[in-house]
Amino acid sequence: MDFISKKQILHLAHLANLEISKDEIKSFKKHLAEVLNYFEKLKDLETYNIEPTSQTTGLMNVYRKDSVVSERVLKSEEAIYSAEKVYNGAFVANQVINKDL
Amino acid sequence: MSLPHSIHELHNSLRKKEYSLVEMLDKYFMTIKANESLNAFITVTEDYAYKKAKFLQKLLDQGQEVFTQYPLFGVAVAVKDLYLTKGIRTTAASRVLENYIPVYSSTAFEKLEEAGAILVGKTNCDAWAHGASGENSDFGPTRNPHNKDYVPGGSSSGSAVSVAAKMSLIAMGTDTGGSIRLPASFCGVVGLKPTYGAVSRYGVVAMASSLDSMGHFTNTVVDSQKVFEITRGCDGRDSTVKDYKNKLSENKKKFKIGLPKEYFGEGLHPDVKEKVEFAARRFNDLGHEVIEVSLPHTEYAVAVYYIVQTAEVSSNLGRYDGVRYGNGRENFGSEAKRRIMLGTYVLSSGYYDAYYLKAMKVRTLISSDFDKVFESVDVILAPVSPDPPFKIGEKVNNPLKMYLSDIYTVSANLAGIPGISIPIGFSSSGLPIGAQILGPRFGEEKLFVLAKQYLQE
Repeated sequence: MDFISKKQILHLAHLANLEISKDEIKSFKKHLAEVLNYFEKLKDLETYNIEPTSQTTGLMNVYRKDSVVSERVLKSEEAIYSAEKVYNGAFVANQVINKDL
Repeated sequence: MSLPHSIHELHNSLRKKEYSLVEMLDKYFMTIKANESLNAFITVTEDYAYKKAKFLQKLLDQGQEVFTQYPLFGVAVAVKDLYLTKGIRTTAASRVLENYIPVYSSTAFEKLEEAGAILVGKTNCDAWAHGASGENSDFGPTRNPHNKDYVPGGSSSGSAVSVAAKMSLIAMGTDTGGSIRLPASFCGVVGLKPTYGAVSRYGVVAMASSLDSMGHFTNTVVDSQKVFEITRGCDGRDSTVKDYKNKLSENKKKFKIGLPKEYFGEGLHPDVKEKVEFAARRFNDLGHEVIEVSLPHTEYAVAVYYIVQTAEVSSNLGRYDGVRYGNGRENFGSEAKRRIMLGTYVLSSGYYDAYYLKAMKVRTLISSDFDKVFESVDVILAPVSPDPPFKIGEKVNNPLKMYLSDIYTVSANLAGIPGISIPIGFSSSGLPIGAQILGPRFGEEKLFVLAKQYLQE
């Protein structure tokens, strides 16, 4: 990988829900290509029979008692305390379903 | 009055009534004001601090046995602005959270509060903890107190500076790829990155969930151990936390210390090399056996780290949509965007196996390098950063070069092992250099014993 196209950058930005400027497109093209190139060194290693590591503590199936601890529950006014747009005690989210459908 | 260097010194002064907690805070806030140009704080919490100080002073004046009941009685603490503090703004040094006031606190902060510590402020850092220099903050770079033209190291830059410049006695940081050890080394203080799973991550803004480790800065190793005893342990809110006792035989006097040969090769600055080799000789003089060891997959660590970490970053930062709290995604700075994009790339369809899965497999190899080495030595001694502190702006336009600053620190996070950074001298330009002692998982005790010996505590 020695090249990453403007189209790929825009696709990634779309997937990541980011708006990026023209300057950023230019700099990300360069920086991402450099870093991805650096990642190529991993290809030197044979890892066919190696198990992947996703955690290091060795803990498995950690459960807690299935009960409500009331002091840990946020009241609705606490939950919406930091939201910029609130309506009738609820968050106002962006519309994600097209009205005409 | 002069501000204390250790918790022991503070408690002695309070016992002798050399000063009151309010007088102590006056001095801390004066020092913070005098050092404004270091840009170490995002929020200074005077109201909170004086209120708590008055409450604690009352207990002390009543003659209560406060020092056993509150092991951190009156300790001024600064907290990286990633730790949620109920009712006190928490920004992660990002414009996305610049007005965010959390409605609950992180476990680590709650434990410090319960132990009698007094919050003096929330410290500056690289936004979302993304950086090795402290320059990626949306609130401006933090500066090194030893020389303002130099970086203090990142990402927990303000916390390290706060302890180094006596703006607090202790400070909390986070270490995902070196973010405590690196600034500790650049600022000449003690920095502990505990074992992954030792301290709860609950209520701390997540960077990379399989790597994030909650630790702290102190002037002394004794204090580092004291703070660790407070912050560690299960809270029922982070399922990766494990309760454990360090088993170290009282009679153990002689340790075997490994120097990984891969950490002393090309790319290591001669000033750093000289000081770490000197430290190794000193450990030898102290009666320990120092031998060369090999961590053969070291050269792959940065690549693995920047795949795993950015993948987890892109996922963790996905939650910031400006709906429930914070501002919208257009407020992310360049470095956060770059990491989200990179993480999205390595996780995207068609690339997952080549990057993410491959990295997780090489992570296994890096981790087992350490397991093998710890079969023959007790701890590893190594440089923290390949370079002494560098100038502000020097690496900022070259992300890959900046990422390579993490070369000696990221492996510990990938393997989940603990590390302590201790000051071992100064570079030719007069800036601090640190060395790290790395131990096996849940083996902090060994680090404390050796670090104390080295610093003659």
